[in-house]
Amino acid sequence: MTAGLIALAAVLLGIRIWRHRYAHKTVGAPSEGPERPEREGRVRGDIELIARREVHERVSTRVFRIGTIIVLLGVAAAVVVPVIHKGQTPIGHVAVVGRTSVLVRATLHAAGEELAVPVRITDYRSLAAADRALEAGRIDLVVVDSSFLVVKQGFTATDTSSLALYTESVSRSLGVELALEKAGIPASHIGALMSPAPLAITSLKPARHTSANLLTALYALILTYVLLTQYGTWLLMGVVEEKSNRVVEVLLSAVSPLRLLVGKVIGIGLVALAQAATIVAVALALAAAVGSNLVKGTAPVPVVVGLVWLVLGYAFYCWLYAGIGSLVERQEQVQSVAFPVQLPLLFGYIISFTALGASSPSLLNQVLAYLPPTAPFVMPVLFALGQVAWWQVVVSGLITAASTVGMARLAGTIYGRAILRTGRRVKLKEVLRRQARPLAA
Amino acid sequence: MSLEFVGLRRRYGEVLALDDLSFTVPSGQVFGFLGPNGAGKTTAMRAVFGLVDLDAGAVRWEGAAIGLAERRRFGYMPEERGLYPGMQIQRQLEYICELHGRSVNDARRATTHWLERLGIPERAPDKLESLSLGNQQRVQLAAALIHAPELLVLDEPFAGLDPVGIDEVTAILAEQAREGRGVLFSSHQLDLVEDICESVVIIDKGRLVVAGILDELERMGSRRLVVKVEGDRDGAWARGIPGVTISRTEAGESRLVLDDGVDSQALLATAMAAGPVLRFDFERRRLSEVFREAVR
Repeated sequence: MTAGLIALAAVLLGIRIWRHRYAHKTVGAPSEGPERPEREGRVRGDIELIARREVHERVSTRVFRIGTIIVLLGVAAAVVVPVIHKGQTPIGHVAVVGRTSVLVRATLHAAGEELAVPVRITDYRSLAAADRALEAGRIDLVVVDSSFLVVKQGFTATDTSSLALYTESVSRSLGVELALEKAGIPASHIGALMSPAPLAITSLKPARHTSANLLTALYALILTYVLLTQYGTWLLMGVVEEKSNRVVEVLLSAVSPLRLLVGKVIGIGLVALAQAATIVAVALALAAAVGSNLVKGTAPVPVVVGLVWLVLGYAFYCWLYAGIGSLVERQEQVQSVAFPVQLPLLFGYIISFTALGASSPSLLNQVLAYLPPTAPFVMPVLFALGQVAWWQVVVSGLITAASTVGMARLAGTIYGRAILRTGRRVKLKEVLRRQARPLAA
Repeated sequence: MSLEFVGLRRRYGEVLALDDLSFTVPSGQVFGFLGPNGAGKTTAMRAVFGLVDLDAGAVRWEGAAIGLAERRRFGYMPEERGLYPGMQIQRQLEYICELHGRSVNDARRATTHWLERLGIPERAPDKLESLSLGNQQRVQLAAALIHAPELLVLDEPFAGLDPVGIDEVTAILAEQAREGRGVLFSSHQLDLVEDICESVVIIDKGRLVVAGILDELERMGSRRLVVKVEGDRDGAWARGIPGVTISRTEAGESRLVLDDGVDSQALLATAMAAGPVLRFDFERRRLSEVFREAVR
């Protein structure tokens, strides 16, 4: 949580400094005296102005408000439903037909306890009646004469449902009991043999991750992908809008292209950060309220790391989206330029799922965790799963931050050269040619 | 104060959009910028704001190169317009005013002032796209004026306006010029330009063809007379006088073109001898004629 607050504070501080450094002088007005001018008489810096406009125009739309509420409801459901679900464990209904010892009944209950499924046992007079009840779904399993079991639907080898596991367990236990009985072991001994005290296990290192960590990593991954794609598209569409309706000509007569771009990126970035922070805060608060294991132990740390990586991912990708937005001026051309940018995003997203399922990171994932386009997806997952150390996260973060600077310069060049070229789609090759002239100032 | 275009040159592939274009726009008067479609007017105006990368030449303000600080003191109305369709008018104008370096307070005051002046104060909270085209045009003009610029550069400010709108804009341009600002605008409506401009330039194929004070331009060229003599139908009295050509006769009025050496007073005497003279009038060239001759 602290890391998230630090990140937020850093962004706000950065904007303040920027505003201070770049605030331009009032035209024709006396320069600022030693006294602080009144707030209303203040001259705002251009980057601040542009960022404010972006924030206001995004947040004031109905689409944004409704979209945020829907996302929050989805997150709330994702946190609360598993908890409720856990509290209402289904009851296993078992029918017994014919000869059934006390031992068998005890075994049926014990197997249920292992899976945290309470079991109710009903005696049926005939196998036919039990079969009918099984067919109708009133019972889950029939034990006949303590010697064979009947289920409605057969199980596949990989079935991990409670019923499959329960049936498997009962089948083994009753089999062992039958074997012991045949071997002449007295019934009183069999009871003790069937419930031995398990041996203690000690480990050299604690478990790599808990199921809560895994869940956090999964949610962070999905959130990162959805938000990066959404905010990237906002930036892209924002640039295309200004180019297509020529507002950019009015704007560029007063501010430089780079400042216009930076203002947009900061404005939309602030909205993104605020929205993501709200989502995470709501998720954590709800989790604490309903007692989800999302907030138990070390689980909140991956949440914050995920949030920091969302910021880093935005910082990296936002320039790319804004830069290529300047190449087109019609909405229908957007898809063709957006696709190449979405590919690495999608790749990082999908490849991270392979990391979620693995006990140790693959070489591919280890490499991708350090490459800026994929690191925002892979690194938080590896961290949540306990497969990388703190310092590795920091190193990868620094690499992404450094390449973000390069990306910003590249995007600034593309934007400055392409934003005023109208009439047709500008080719990337044309603007990157050395002799292509940038805009004055 | 003046805006100078000095040797502007810009080529787009095979097309020479600006071909060594030079002229000066003095402040304190309404200055018309004319030329046929594709002559390079818009390119030249965009060059003032650094929106065109010139192959050669420069635009100067008060004799110095124009940077961002200078541009913030200019107002620009682009040909294809350019505001956010979905943004509230009030917010939009305040935003543009502040972008040009004005304070929050100034921006609010100026927005109120200009929306009232243009007769649309009640539309302040509306989105731009909800306005009629004429009113959108008014907002666009307000966006150019909002920060009290030293120089106005307006690309076709009258296009799409009704006669009332034209009168409003004309009055505003004249008022801006009276206050000592530079006012450069392009237009195809030559009658309008004739009414409101003191000076014009005409360019064709990126090159300057005519520049000067409108009054002088209209006096230039051959002298032309309109004469009406009672009873005369076809200007027979003027026929055969050396240096005088009858260009047209209509409803008893003859239009005569005089060569340089012709004495107009002697001509008047000849006309009086033919009958009572009802009209004897030197006629100016219309701007449309100057234009057509220039870009022929």
